Amino acid sequence: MALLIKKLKAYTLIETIISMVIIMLVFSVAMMIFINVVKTDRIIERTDIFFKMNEIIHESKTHQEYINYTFEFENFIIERTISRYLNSKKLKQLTVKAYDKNDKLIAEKSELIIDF
Amino acid sequence: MAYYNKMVYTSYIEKDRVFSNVNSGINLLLAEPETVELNSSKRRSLFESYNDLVLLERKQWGIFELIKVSSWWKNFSFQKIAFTGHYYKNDSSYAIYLADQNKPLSLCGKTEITGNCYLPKAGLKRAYIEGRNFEGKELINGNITFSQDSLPEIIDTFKNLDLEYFKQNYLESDETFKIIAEEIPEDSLFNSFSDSTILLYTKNDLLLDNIVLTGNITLLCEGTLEITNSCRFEDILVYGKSVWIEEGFAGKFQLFAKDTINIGENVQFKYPSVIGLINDNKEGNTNPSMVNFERGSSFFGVIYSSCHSDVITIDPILKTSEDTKLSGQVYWAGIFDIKGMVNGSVACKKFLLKTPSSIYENHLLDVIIDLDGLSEYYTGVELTGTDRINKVIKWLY
Repeated sequence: MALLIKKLKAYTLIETIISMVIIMLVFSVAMMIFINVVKTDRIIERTDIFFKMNEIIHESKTHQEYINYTFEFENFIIERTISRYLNSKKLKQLTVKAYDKNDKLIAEKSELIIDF
Repeated sequence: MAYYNKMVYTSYIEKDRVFSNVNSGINLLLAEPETVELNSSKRRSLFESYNDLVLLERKQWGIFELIKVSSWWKNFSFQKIAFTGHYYKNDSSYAIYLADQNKPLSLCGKTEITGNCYLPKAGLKRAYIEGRNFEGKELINGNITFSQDSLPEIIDTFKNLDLEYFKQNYLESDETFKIIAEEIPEDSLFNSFSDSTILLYTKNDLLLDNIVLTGNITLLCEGTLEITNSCRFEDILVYGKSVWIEEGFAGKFQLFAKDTINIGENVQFKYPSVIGLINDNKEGNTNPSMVNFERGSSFFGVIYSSCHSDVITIDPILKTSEDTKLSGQVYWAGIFDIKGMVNGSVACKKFLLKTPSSIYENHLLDVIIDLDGLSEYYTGVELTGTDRINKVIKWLY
């Protein structure tokens, strides 16, 4: 009786498990590096500040609130100022600035508003 | 991946700044239009920062001012275009300005006047016409001030919208794309206000049938122009020596003529429309010129007349019918044969009332002139000039 023995080339169970563990380890390290880079760059915080600044400008225009004020938002200080634009009697400049705890300017946005 | 993430964030922030700069540019041109000369453009830094450059443009489009503001960042750009004007209701708005020709204003029937009025020193009277007395409680619901013997002068920018102006600015300009009006290639033309103006020109009489014209298009006809009700016009400029509009037409555009504009029954001019009767004869107006609204027609915008010469031999006539409704501003340097209703303000030299038995000057019978009926959001053009802040009449494309 001819024995038909075919040798099937494949990985053993242990080899597969070990390679999966290695891939997971590499992926975890890559994610940690990515999260670290993003955190250092403070992109998440800057995104929050950006949306907050837009919200302040929108509310100022909607409610016609044109007085200077400063307040704390998360770990930052946000300052809203209104001034005459280039000595115009009809235009105001609304500026919103965000500073970190070291008084370093993180973001700034200005917009012109008509003074009816 | 981290770099791409940062790039996406930066791109989002900068695009938002572009939108914000364009809005600021629009507000700058509304509040301080003299920042840029009319019919020119200027590049400017808004806040003396590296990323706040805007391109500001101002152009005249009929009696409206067209403003265009663009801003950009790398390959991304954004622009906004609008018609602007500076007439809107305020404390100094009036319902009637009637030039003082030593004749009082007489009211009869169910006439209602709401709003402040500038009237002749001869005053205001009740009248008895065709067996009818004045049937209201108060003659005028508003304050009365004395008027001058002529209407307030309109500024040259609006006086000069005659054939010469259209030829100089459109026919002789290298920047317009010219098409012979009798050979319009398609049955509809659309042109953006960010592109060059298209001029449709003819020296002869012209009949327009089944044509849709939208946007940055000027139609210049040196003869008589007839517009059928199968046409649709939006935001374009039209000039004809005389213009006849068939009953049932609807559109919103600026129409200028020298001799006559006849508006058929049930024609609708929607907001923002303009009708201007401009007599460019420097020796004076020797032929009768007229704008006539037939029954059921309506108009929302600015109607005005002007003459280049101070010597007026025959006053132009503005005639409306019983169920005609005008909304907006009427500035008529001539005779207003008024019936129907005006929601807004009227300035004219004289009123005229024709009855089967007689003709009366400065008499109003069953007429409603109601300034309160004009929307507080209405924005038109102050023809006599003002330094008020401009407002947007319509956003464009």
